[in-house]
Amino acid sequence: MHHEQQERITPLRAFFADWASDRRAFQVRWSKAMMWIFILGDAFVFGSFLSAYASARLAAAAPWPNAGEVFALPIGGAEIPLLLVALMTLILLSSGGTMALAVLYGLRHDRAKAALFTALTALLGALFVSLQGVEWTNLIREGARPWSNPWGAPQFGASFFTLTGFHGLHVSIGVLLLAIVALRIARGVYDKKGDYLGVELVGLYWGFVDLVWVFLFPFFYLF
Amino acid sequence: MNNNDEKNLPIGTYLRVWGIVVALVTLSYAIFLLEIEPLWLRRFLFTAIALLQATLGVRYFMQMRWERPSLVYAIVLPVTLLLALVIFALSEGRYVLGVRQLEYSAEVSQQPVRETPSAQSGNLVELGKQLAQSNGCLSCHSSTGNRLVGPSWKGLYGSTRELEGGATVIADEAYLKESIVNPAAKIVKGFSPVMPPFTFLSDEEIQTIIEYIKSLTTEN
Repeated sequence: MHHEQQERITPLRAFFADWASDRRAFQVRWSKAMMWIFILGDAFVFGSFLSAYASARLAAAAPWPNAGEVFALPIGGAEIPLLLVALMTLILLSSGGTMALAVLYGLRHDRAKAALFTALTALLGALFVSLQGVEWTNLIREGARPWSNPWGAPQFGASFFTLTGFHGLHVSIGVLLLAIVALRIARGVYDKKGDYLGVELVGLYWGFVDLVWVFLFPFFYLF
Repeated sequence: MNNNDEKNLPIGTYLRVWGIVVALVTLSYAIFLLEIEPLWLRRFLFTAIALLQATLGVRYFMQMRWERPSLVYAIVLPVTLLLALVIFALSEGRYVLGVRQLEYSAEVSQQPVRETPSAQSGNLVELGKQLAQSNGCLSCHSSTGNRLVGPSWKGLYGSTRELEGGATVIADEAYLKESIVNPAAKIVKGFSPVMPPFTFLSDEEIQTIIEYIKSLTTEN
């Protein structure tokens, strides 16, 4: 690495400095750059799904079902719209916070806390997927299918199962990865290696899964 | 992360960001529950809040804030291309809806050969069902209670219909006949006036279809 003077560098100057001549452009470990590129690709997958959903919803001749009524949860006689989904959202966003803490403790080589928060993230993720299972079961019992449903436009079912299904798959894979990483931290694998890069990588993946829900929740349920 | 600063980052920063994210999602949910009008404002707020949450998530939870600009630009700039995809999808959706409504009317009025009911093929109800099938009625009106483009025929006959504008009408034979030859006259609340007039049907054929509609009320 060159000796860089610690003068104030503007983002633009830093950008040209990084790309100028034959230097390493991404000044991170290769696996981290690859994880970011994977996330970029996955962002396009979900971006395409959301665009397809927008198109299908606009093109539907029959009225779009009211998500507030479809996803209502009865509590003490009153139907509270979207309660289960709001709860799931809070759980997933909280898991984003515990993941960030796990990464932070990993950088500090605090083995016990990093393992604890990674495991906690996995638990919250598993809880999210379980609640999603409840949601799917309820909806399928009430007659929702990918090709028809009792509430309105048939495109609703296809959009719902595709969007939440692919996101749920990502969460499930994430829970598996988190469980493995938590075990590896506890066993001291990263201490032997000398860095906690593995925790950072799964942290990036989990942050992305969180991010997808940040868009799914308003665009599919609230709109 | 490529320097040591963030190792000393206070946990308080993360907790604060987490608090803001939770507050934002609660705000979205509150806007939904309160049904803030108009709809476009509500949707604008949902989108703005989601973008704000995403920015916070990427900067803090995914530590983008501490990355070099080369990585930030390489990841963030391509994502903005998704905006073009969204714009295409929206205009395509609008176009398809227009075509569906147009094609539908054309398809119905261009049917040159209609099956004429033959006396041997069964009772009036069965004939009415065949007529409803061959004239395309059943592609928008279900016999099962499912809501399609138009109201379902199940239980329709004799029921009280709430119309756009607040008036009500009882679905008797006269109403059903009017709704076939001049569908725009009375629109049931919550439906769009997209059905073309079926003026080419003979009185006999209309009566036969009405017999079929009647059977869907008395059956159960």
